[in-house]
Amino acid sequence: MATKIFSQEDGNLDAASIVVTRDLIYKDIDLNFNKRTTGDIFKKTEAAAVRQAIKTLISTNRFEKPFKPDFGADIRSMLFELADEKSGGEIISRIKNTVQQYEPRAGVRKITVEVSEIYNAIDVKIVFQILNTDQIITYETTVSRLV
Amino acid sequence: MATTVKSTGLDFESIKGNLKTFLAASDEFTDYNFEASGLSNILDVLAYNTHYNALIANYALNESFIGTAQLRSSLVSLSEGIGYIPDSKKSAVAKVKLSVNLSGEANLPSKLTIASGHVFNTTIDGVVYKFETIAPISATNNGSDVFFFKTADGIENIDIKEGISRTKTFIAGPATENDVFVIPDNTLDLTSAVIKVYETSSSTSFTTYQSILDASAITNSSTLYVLKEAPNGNFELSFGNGTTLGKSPVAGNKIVVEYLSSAGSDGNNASVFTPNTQFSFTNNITETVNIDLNVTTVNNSAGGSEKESIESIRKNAPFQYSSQNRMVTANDYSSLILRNFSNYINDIKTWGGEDAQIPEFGAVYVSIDFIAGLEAETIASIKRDIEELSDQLSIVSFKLRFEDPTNTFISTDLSFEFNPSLATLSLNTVQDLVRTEVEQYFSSAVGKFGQSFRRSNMLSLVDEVSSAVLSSKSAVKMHQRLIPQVTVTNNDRSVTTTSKLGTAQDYIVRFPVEIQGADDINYSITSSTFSFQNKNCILRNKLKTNVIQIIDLSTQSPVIDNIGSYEGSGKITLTGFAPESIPGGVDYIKVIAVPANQAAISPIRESILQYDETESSFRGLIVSSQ
Repeated sequence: MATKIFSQEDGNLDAASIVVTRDLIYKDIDLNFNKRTTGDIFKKTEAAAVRQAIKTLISTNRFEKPFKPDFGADIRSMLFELADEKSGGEIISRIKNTVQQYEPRAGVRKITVEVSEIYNAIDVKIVFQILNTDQIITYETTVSRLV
Repeated sequence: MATTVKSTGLDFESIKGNLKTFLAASDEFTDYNFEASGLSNILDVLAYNTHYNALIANYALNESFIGTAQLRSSLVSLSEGIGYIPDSKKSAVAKVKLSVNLSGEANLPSKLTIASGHVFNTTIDGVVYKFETIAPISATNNGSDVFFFKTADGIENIDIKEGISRTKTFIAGPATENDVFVIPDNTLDLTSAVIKVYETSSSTSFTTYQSILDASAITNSSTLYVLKEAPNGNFELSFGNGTTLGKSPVAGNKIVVEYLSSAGSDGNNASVFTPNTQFSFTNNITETVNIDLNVTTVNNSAGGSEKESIESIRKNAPFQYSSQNRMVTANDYSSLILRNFSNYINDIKTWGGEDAQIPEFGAVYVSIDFIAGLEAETIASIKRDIEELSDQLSIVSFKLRFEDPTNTFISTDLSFEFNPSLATLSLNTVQDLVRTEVEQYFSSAVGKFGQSFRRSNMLSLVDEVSSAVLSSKSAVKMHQRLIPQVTVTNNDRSVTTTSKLGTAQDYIVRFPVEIQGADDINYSITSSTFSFQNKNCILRNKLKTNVIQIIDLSTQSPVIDNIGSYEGSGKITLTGFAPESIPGGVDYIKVIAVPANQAAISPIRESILQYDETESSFRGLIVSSQ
């Protein structure tokens, strides 16, 4: 039987232990910029990365991102619009459109919007699916005028 | 793995793309491709910052060179570095005759004087402008108690300049301060500025300083000033350093700047001037007498202009620098005449006498296309001033010769094939479009010295008017205007014009290019109609010969068999030609010639090409072929 010869660099591969890892598909910077003990900043991975992107989309206004004037759901501007029965539908439509255009990793399942005229606030709840993992994530936020 | 970020693309998308390429080579982060990701936001900030800095660097670099600077302040600063001071606004100047009639007054003095600054009002388009005398003028009794005012040179035509007199007073600080005196007025006319330096603030005697641009020699005692536009559009006054650039005012000296605040070109074309106040003088028994000045306008106001444009600074500053304020080469004459008289000049061409039609060594020829509306006497006066400038700055013994620009008018008989099935436009509409296109070609391609007519360029524009224009061709003719009159500039700068209609006179018409040779079918020379021996006639060459005849239009037969001849070189000679009148309310006869080369007409020396739309025609021929 032939003897396997390994290079000096590789050593005896038969004796080496085999480590299996799962590749992380989505890896993003954590925008909280919290510091790890190593001095580096934390990362957001997988569903957390997509959730952070959805949060960014919803909280971004039009013309905020350089050279991409229509980026963002532009919800904050709705705080200063007349609140009527059509407001909720308009906000849902804006969120749906912007997620479809700018976040291909997420599929929107359901969006619930509550416009609170008394508190000048908008409550948004968005349920979405991470498309290649079937994970269902819920993100909730409230935007309100400064008082 | 990419170890460097590419730095050649400077627009936002390229920069961001380069950063993404850099990240793609690493597996540290993967979300850079998603616009909503945190990483994409970070890349936005980095790319935007880099893009912004690149733009600033680009602008800064562009603004550092005369050829690319866009801001007036940059061009003013850069031109200052090579000793060029951009033109300020210039006041319009009018010529008037002034007199007072003192008949009936007793105890008259022998001489009356009006100080400079006597103000006259005029109205242009409903706006009142002020003009004033710019030098003292005086008058003596003509024997009938009428006093006609004259300049110190004895000239009756007196210049009055538009503008409002302003004065700024400064007290000089210690020499170590290196003072720059700021005049916060962007309407200052640099040519009107007078700088007086008094010993103290209460002194009455003063020294008048001279502009450094007019200085021919500078010593440490020269009294010179530099007055120039500052980057903010106002003006700054400075003096020498007491050594190499002349004397500097010392601490405590009072500096008075007197100047005219000019309305620029708005002051042009004023014709009626009314004295602002009565003229006042003291008679021989020390009584003060006030009397109205009589004003007769000789020349309407002209020559007012705005600040030099940035494109003009860009063009003139390097030429000025190369001429070094001396008239040596032909181009030096152009640039220095332009510097001093740009407000009167559309275009200028200069050439050495060795290149003249009849070579004349030791002479420089200047041809100037003056702006429209200048009167003959104003032009004569400017030419005199240019001669004086040339005397100061040219090489000793060089003579200056003026050649008036000769306009050669081009007309075109243009036809094109038109297929109506290839366009929705009608033939008439396309004909009008072709006419407009040709007019635009001529307005941009000719009209200045050295600009040529090229038929192929014109026809290629015609072909592009519509897809239904399949081909085009054009016959080209040229004409010059023969004016039967003689104009003489007199010694007192007045101009006399005498009509020569009905008087036999020799004429030479010179085209800038060769004329087509004689053949037995087509006439190379024709003309517009004039009256001769009570008949409507034209000039025309005899077929197969260079002889020019006068032809009776009604009978088509010669009235005079030989009135002159033409040469292939472009020269037409008429001998004893005596047209009696010219119909159509014009004072010229069009002498029309067919150029030997109709494809290109390039004027030389003083020739300028113009478009003659009245002699041009446009025809579309309907065809069905593709």
